[in-house]
Amino acid sequence: MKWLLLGWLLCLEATAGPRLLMHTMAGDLLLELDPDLAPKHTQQLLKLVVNGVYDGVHFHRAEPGFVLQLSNATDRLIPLNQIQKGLIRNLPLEVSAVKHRRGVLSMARWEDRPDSAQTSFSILLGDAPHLDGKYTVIGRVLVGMDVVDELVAVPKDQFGKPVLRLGVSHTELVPPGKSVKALSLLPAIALSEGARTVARETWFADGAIRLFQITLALCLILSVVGTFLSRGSSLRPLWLSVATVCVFPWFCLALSFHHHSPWIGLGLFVVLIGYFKVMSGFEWARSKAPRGEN
Amino acid sequence: MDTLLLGGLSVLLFAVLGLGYGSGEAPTLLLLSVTLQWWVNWPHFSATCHRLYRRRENVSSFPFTAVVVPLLVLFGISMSLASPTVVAPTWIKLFMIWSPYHFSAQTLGITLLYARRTGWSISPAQRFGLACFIFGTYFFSTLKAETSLQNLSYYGIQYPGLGLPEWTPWIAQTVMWFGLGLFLVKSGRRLVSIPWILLVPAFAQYIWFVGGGNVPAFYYFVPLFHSLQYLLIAWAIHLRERLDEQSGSWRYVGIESLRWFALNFIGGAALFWAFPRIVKGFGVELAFATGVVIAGVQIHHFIVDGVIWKLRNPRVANPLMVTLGDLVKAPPQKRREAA
Repeated sequence: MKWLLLGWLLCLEATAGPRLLMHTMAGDLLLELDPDLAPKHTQQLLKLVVNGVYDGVHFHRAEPGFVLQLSNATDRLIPLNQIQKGLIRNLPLEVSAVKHRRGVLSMARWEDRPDSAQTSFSILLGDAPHLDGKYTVIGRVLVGMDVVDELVAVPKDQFGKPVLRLGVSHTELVPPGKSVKALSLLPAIALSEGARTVARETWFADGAIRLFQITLALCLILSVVGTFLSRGSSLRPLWLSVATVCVFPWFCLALSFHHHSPWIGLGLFVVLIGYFKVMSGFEWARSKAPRGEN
Repeated sequence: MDTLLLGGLSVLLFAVLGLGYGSGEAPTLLLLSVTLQWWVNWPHFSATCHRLYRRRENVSSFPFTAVVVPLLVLFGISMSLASPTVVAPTWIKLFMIWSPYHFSAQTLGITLLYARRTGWSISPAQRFGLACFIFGTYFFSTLKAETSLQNLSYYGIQYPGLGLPEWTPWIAQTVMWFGLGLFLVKSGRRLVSIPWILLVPAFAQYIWFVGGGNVPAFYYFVPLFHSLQYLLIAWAIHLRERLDEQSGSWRYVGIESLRWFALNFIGGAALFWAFPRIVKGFGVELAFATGVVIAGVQIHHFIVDGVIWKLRNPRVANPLMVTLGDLVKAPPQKRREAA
């Protein structure tokens, strides 16, 4: 009898912690949480998974070489119910000596609030030493980095967002001892090719938008020139108003690209300060004082 | 009273919280600040609209400000509601960066106003130094926050950090201390005779944006103190302008103050409580509507304030020289044109 038990034990996959099976649109991911590294995070995540909090989430951020980040659970297509909302709470930072390398799972939090992690976490795509010791490592990807690569390879739109919603249909807890083979994991789907077709079609459909943007740019240049040439004129507020209407969409666009370089952000900030200064002189009083009065 | 309302109260609160009193009471303090916003913050926004629209002469003096600016803001609000993931975050970002800039401009304006009131002249170099210090506090705190790319949230609307270079806050800090140094050097021996009230707004600004970050829960009250400054000035000019129609007395001051405050309380509630609920009626989630509307109301306030409070306009500056004694004892005046 004991030989049967030993044989059964030997057949088990040697794993350190609980495992999660995440069904994504590009295939299945098998994740392993590490309760020794982050006991509170592990306990909480398991509770959330079991209660369906991670069903219907999506990867909202895909930065090649850096992270593939899962959205907050509050950003699901189907809103959380009251019980699920009640389960979400802030988690204390649980740093360890484990380095942020490819395949590691790292919990997301507000940068200025170390104990603010809730539901969002990232899959590291490369080394990120600047995160070591500052963010909680909760586990690793056991199987499915090819699925992760497929998700990251989906083309981005002009705002830096993936052209497809990188959805996760369901996340479940894998019974302890169940072998990887027994899970019948779905291999990586060639998502990016289909996504490239979508991106091409989107580009053509955006043609009208591009024409609108060019027109806006011309109006903006005209209104900025008009503003400077009309100093002291009563028409200056009109030019400033037109400039405001034209600059705002460009500000929206620039804000989508600012993460590519700190200089874009700095340029945006400087332009904004200049705009505030100009707007502080939007209009001067028109009425004249009667003689003899201040 | 002026010293307290111009920033003295904030310094006192900073001292109290900094010494550890009230630590652990953050939820209570937050509740207090939220309650006070009905009575102080919101009326101060309404006071701007009241000043601009109270008289037809004001509207005709600033036609674009009175008519076009609300339309621009409504345009921004509409676009934000229509595009929650692209336009709304940009709208919120614009508001978030503009708000402390507006605080700084008000601080500088109030300092210059009280320099006139106390008769302490300020040279262009001193003014430049003062501006560098005051705006330096704004640039330092804002740039420090904006070095992060992390998304922040305002009423559930996620907006990004700008991810600025790490060295930018230190440039701002250098400008800040340079400005203070320039002001002190250019003041020279005259510094001995400087009225303390002139230094209060700038000192308070430093605490709001630089020192106060280290004191838990203090930042809940920063908008409140900014609003108190504004209400003092707006109240004073309102009482002075209303003297056009009647003689001064304690009765006049009391009744007119109550009337003015009641109007602005109602106006503030309309802008910040009722307006979002009207927008909600169009099928928008209340939190989202509140965030977008609040940003819009405040952007409107920033633009209008910059227009109507020009000290170079004697019709703005002269009434602000009034004291409580002037208001109480003034005889009936001939009707004057609006600013």
